[in-house]
Amino acid sequence: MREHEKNTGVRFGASGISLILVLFGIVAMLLLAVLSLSAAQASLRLSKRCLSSEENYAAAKKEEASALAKLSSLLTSGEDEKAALSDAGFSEGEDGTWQVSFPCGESQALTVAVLVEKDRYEIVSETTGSTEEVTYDTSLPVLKKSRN
Amino acid sequence: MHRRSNSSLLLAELILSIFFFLAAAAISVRIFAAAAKYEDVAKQNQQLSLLLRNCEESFDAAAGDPEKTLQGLLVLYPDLSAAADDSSATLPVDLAGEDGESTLTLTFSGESEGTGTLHRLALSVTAPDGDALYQTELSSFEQEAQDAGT
Repeated sequence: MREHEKNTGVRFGASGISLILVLFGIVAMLLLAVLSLSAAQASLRLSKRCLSSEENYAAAKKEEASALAKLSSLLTSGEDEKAALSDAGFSEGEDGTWQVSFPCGESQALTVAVLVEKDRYEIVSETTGSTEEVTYDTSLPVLKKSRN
Repeated sequence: MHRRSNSSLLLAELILSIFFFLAAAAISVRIFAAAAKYEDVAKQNQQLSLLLRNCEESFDAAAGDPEKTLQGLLVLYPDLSAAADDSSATLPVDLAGEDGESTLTLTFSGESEGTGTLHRLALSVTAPDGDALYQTELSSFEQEAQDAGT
């Protein structure tokens, strides 16, 4: 009987293939777990930035409201228009308006421009813009050149 | 003898495989649980930022007026319940990662300054168990409308 015994190919456990397969499964499982943790951490960082961006804007708007309230209070107290604007933190711009900027995070600022007449002010513009200089990379021909 | 040693090796291999697999599975489950926690906090931050943005926009559009602010917020949040004098309002919020409903409380206040009113809106979110989750304050200055004759 033993003579007729044949080896029908490689036995499953004999050459350690099962251990290799199990190790492969373990590595795949750990890799999947680490990747999901990494994605969750990225999602958390983004959500924190989003919330802090909203909070920074709210803080800038709060400072703006305080400055406008101070301006209104100074104007109604009979103070000179230019002195009142300066005391409230405004500075004269080139176009005749008076402007003040409030930081809105690390790289943005809320800028308010007003005009004053007697004891009232009028908001000319209220914009949020970047405080950093942006340099555009034109080394890659991304846009087609105009034929004209 | 040869057959017996093969069986022993196979048994040892099996035991080792199961041991390593269970260890890796335990580690993976802990990592997945931590990832799920981070996702919950991220989702909660997104919900809070959306609440804050909607309250800001309604407050700015109404120039700080409590009644108009609440009218604007009622369109977005029909479950908002305001006090009789519009000085405060509460809104049940289902935040991710919290068991039960949290509560958003809006409290209005204001003081006269110059020719207008400095309006303030305090926002606070409390967890179902009463813990304070989030607090912030919004401000807006409303200049009084100019009389037609002046």
